[in-house]
Amino acid sequence: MALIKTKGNKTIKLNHITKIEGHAKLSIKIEKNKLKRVKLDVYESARFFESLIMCRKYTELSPLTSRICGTCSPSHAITSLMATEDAFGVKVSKQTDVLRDLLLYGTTIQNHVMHLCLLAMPDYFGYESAIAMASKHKDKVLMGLNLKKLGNELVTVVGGREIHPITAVVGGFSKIPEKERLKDLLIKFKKAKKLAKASVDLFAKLKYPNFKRETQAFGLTNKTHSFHKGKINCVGGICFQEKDYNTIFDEHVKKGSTAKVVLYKGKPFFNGALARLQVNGNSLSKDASKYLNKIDFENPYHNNIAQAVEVLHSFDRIIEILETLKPKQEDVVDYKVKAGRGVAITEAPRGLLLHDYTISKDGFCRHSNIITPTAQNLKQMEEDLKLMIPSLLNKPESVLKRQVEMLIRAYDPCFSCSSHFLEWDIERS
Amino acid sequence: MVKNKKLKIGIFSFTSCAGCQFEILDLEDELLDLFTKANIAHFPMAKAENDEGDFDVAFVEGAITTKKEAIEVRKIRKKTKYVVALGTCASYGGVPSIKDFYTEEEIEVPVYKSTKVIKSIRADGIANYVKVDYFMHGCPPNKYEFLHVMKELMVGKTPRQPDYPVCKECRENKNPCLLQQGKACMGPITNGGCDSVCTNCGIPCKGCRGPIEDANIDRIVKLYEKMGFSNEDIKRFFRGYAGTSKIFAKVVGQTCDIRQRKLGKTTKTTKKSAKSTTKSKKSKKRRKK
Repeated sequence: MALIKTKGNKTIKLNHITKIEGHAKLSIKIEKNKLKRVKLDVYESARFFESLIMCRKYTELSPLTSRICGTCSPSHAITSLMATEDAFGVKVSKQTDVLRDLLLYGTTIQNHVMHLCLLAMPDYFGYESAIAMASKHKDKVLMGLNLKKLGNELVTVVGGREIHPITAVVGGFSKIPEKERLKDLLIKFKKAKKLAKASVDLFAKLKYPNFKRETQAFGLTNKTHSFHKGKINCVGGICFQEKDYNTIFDEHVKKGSTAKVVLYKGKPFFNGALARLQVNGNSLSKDASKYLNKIDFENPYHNNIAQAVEVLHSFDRIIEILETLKPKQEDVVDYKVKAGRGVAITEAPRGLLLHDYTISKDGFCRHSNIITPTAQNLKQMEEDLKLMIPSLLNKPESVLKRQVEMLIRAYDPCFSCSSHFLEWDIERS
Repeated sequence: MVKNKKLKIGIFSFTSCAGCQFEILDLEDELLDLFTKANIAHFPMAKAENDEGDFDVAFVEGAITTKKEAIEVRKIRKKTKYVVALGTCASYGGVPSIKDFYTEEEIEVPVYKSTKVIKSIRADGIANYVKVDYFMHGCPPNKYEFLHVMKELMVGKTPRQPDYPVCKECRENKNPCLLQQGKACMGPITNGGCDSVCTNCGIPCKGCRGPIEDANIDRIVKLYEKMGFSNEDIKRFFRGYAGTSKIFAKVVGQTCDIRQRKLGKTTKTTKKSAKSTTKSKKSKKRRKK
């Protein structure tokens, strides 16, 4: 942290926010003990994914867009497939649906546990990293690693490998997971469920900064808290069709800002685990829903508890699915390549993920739009900081820095995901 | 190589999906051991306190796509004894390097409405800027290869890269040959070491680990042609992950023909000019046709 002080004014710069996915920096300007400006800059280089997949064949879209994000690659891969299938009018089999569910529950465990136990937890125990924390709290770090490993194993068994899954293709799966390996997973998940429970207990008991704000939450609603099906909804309830997303959300680049941000009716909103539980809380498994009363939906730090609850829910759902799933060999469903537009919205671990493709009749992508969760959360993060920092101005710098970083981390932002983000410093005429 | 009791390691990231770093963190069973046996001094994704000082080994993830990154990677080289390019982006530019085959306008306007807002240069592997001691190929790389390299370095050995194509492992895994099924598999010309993970699932190799040194490109292109793939198809295959590799140069061409045709443009488009104030002469030379 760099601190530049001049007569009663100061600028605080966090030049590289650590323990998040990707690169971001924050600058806070304080004048005469009043907060003047908060700017969250994303300095992840632009990667132009929407252009990269232009004039690529429809079969290449999923593997390529998977490369947007190393951590939630299964989410990108599945969303991409669903958008393509939407364009072609493909209806997948029930088994495919269930396997996709498994893949997304698996990636939710991968992501949430990685964030909770490796990135966020050390903050609350006063360590700089999980590795440093392992010297005194080895059990807690190991708990995280063991949970994460199971998520990885599930994604590997269903998707072919833990990062950038291989088997999911348009219309189904190129390889159906082996019975034996699924059976083996079921035993492991049943055995490890107590770890998932212990982690919710742990995160529900942590002391979070007391900070509240009111804002709008968006998430998918369905009966099983599935991550790839349902209607987009918010508190107060406005369902809308996937294809109409651009009438509800507007993506734009603010002058002087470094990132494309997404707003709802001109206002910031948030999504992710906390939003999902707020919008779709009654769809949780029995064990997971017991913890709902521990969550304060107005406190963004509680996203940590919400993530732990979702990990437990994912465990319950995975066990339920594995107990009933009888994998049978099946080919991908027949479909015809045709011209059209396809939109799919799923819940990635960090929130709503949208892929929108226009495909030509020979099967090439001609136009695309991808909206990632972090692009939607970014403005809300900045707003939260504006609201929170004034109350911390009289506290020592180290406290301010820590609490600010913890807030950003609580959102579990993923800047590499945000194919849109750019450094913006040349104004348009 | 470097002979030190406890190696000082830095893990750096440029333009990428961060997947290679996750591959390291996915070594759950070995992670704690690894971090105690080596001094992982710089790893901003997992640590709050990061040492900027000299390193024995640097693992560098991601492609170089801005001038700033080019400067940064040179700095890393200067303070490091052994540099490993971690993953395909760092080795060849990876998926981000697809943009190199388009004009600036083609790439930037659809996303940002103008070419003026981006300060981006060509996407390239880090070897275009600095000397690389080991290329850990793959999108993502194999985490056990990372572990292997770490072990070798820790005992003072110089790690050796796998020098066989994907086909070797694919045969060992007893997969049916996808080329014989008429699928455009890139296995014969692609670096092995991935345990043929894609072909095990019935998906043709996309060449994410880049070309083997003695790749017989002409032969495989002929084979694809015989299988009925058009010139454009073949170009696309090669432009996926390692399009900037020298070995692919004669296949990949320069611009996106499909879109040109659709727009009805017949004028030739120039390759995005390399804004190369920060680039070495050598890499400039390589880029010139």
